[in-house]
Amino acid sequence: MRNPFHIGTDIYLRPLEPEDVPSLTDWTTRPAIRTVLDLFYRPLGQSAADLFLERTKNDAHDIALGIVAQETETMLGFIGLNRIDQENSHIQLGFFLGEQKADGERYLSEAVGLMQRYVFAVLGMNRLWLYVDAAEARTINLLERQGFVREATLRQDRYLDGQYADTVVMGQVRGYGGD
Amino acid sequence: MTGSQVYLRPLTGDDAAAFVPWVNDAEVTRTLAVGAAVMDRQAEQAWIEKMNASGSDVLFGIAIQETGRLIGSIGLNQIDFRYRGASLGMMIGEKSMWGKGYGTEATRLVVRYAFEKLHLNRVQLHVYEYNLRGIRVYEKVGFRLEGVLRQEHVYDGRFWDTVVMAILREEWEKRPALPEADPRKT
Repeated sequence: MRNPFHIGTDIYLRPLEPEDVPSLTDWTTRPAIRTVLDLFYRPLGQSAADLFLERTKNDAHDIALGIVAQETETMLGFIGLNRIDQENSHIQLGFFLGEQKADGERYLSEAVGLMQRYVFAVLGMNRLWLYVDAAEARTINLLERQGFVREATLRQDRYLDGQYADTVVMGQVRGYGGD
Repeated sequence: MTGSQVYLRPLTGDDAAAFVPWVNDAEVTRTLAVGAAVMDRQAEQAWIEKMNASGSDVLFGIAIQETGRLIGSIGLNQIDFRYRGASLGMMIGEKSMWGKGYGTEATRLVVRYAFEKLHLNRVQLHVYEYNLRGIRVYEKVGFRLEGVLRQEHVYDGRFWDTVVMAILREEWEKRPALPEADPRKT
């Protein structure tokens, strides 16, 4: 393991490095991931990775980590925190898996679990939340299994492929399961 | 924009003085997302100028028709022309003007502006669970409850839930007509 920040059973989370740019470029130019990152609306090549790295590193409170498989040392995706609100004690979670593998959901659950522990036990936050596309039933189920609750559905919140799409707000509060 | 009781007008840096007592009054700010920061005239002036220069915010002063007295502000923030959405925020700073329907009328005017002038599709807002007066105003205008963000806000030493409400263009277009003004009262 190289520079591990959080270590799980099958994966570990580590800081992103300049040598991750090729992987990130590949991922951040794929349509599905560009949609998740809200980068889909303009053509992007190599600059997508730079834009993404810049977006995740331009604030001292933002935390961006790569999800890496322990056995193969392959970077599978990304998980991060942003929009910290110290006064109200909450922070936003974001993630994507670049490599769609059979074990993807298991790895992602593990990564989310590591971040939950970090947010509540290390950062001392009271609330962790995120936006999920309402059509992403598998992600919503995964988060529910991790203790998140579907708190709100923002109707026609985004415009994708010629039609409006709903966004779900999922939240977890300290002491209410999972943390 | 003009209603029957209030009108909305642009704010300038000169209006900052009126806002300073309001944004430092705990009774006023308990329903606002302004945090615990102390606001002086310069900060307030900078905020008004920043809003006026912004391409993604619109800010109006709320003034009484009869007297021209400024009683608060209302605006649209995070205007996103790609998704055609925005967030609404309002403050009636003059406490003696609470409960008179001015907020409801100002909200209607701004929502109409959002749909008819800016051609938006969705206007949303966050309101704290203890702001029952606010929730009633927004329901009256046609906002619908979309969910409750648990323990999203700290006030007075404890966590409170934040209510998410929104109105869509299609709901605004189908709203029932307002009752005609009673001629006996005019």
